[in-house]
Amino acid sequence: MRFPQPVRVGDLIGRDVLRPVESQDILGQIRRVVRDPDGGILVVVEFGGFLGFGRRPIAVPVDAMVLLGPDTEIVAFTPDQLRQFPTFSSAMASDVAPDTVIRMGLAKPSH
Amino acid sequence: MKSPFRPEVIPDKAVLDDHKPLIRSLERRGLIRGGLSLGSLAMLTGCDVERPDAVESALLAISRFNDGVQALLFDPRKLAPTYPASMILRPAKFNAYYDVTEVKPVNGESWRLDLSGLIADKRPWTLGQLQALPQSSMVIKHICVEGWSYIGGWSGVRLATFLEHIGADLRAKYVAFKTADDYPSSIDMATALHPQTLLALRYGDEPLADPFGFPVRLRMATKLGYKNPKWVTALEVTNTYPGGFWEERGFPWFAGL
Repeated sequence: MRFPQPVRVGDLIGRDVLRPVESQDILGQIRRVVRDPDGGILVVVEFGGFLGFGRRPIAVPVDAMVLLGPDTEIVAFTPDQLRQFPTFSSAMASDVAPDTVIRMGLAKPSH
Repeated sequence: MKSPFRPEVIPDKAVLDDHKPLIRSLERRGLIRGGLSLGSLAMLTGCDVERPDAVESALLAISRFNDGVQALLFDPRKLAPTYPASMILRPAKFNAYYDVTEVKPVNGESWRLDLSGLIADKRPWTLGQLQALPQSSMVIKHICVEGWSYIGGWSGVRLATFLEHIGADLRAKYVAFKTADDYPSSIDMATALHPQTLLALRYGDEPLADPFGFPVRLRMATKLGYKNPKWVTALEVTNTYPGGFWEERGFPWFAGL
């Protein structure tokens, strides 16, 4: 168990998303938190690219991510798997209000 | 030019690798920053660097000297910086010597704080009793020896208030802690009596969450993160050096900020 903790959606926006390895490579940043048609919460991460080019939003299930202090990590998917994720389109989901409190698990620092 | 002080037999460089954590912790303090080469190590200690035990004890002697200097420099009335409540990171950042999946929550109902050593009233304490003592709050920076930090908001009982309440001998040298996760720790009495040293019961106006040490943890504004044990279950006042989890592994004991 990763002891999911309450966190305000508005406090998640803009946070770095790291890879859970010692080098803590930055995979992207959190742009939005949305609810899919089934009610599941997805974190929209501006992912990949190089020097700002080729980035695209992908939607990661909230329970695939953990909080790492002011940063977050994707622990349930490898970068290769994330590259296969479809590009997120707004038609797929609705935004969760900034003041909504959701739960996200924890991890110890990977370094 | 070859130094006239160059020893006949050059020690094996591996001796530096063998003592890497210790050397790193010393370098942090800057006392011998840049100076701990093989040559100066041999000069400094006059010891035989071929023998790792001799190197280890020399380095530990320097580390203990550092602890002493820090204790002398510590001003019990000087406050560490505090921050506005709006800067509190919610939730806090988790860290331990194991991952969060290994955390074993403590039952607040059956939890007791056991007391021992130089204390007049050694009856164990319940959470309710601690909550009934005067509470203090502080928004301080948690600074980890690994290099990261975050701002946290903690409330609880000043350790000084608690020690007075139980009739602890305030002239004793050390206050030692035992925890539910087997992470012994200890601090100097001057820091124990500092106003920014709390037996913390709450974080950001909520009871401590399980991964952050529920029901009671130590929080100090004047020491590095690893000196703040979580899930505290026992407190001892003593004059015998108690050491601690990381201290046994070569980390500095005083670890002041």
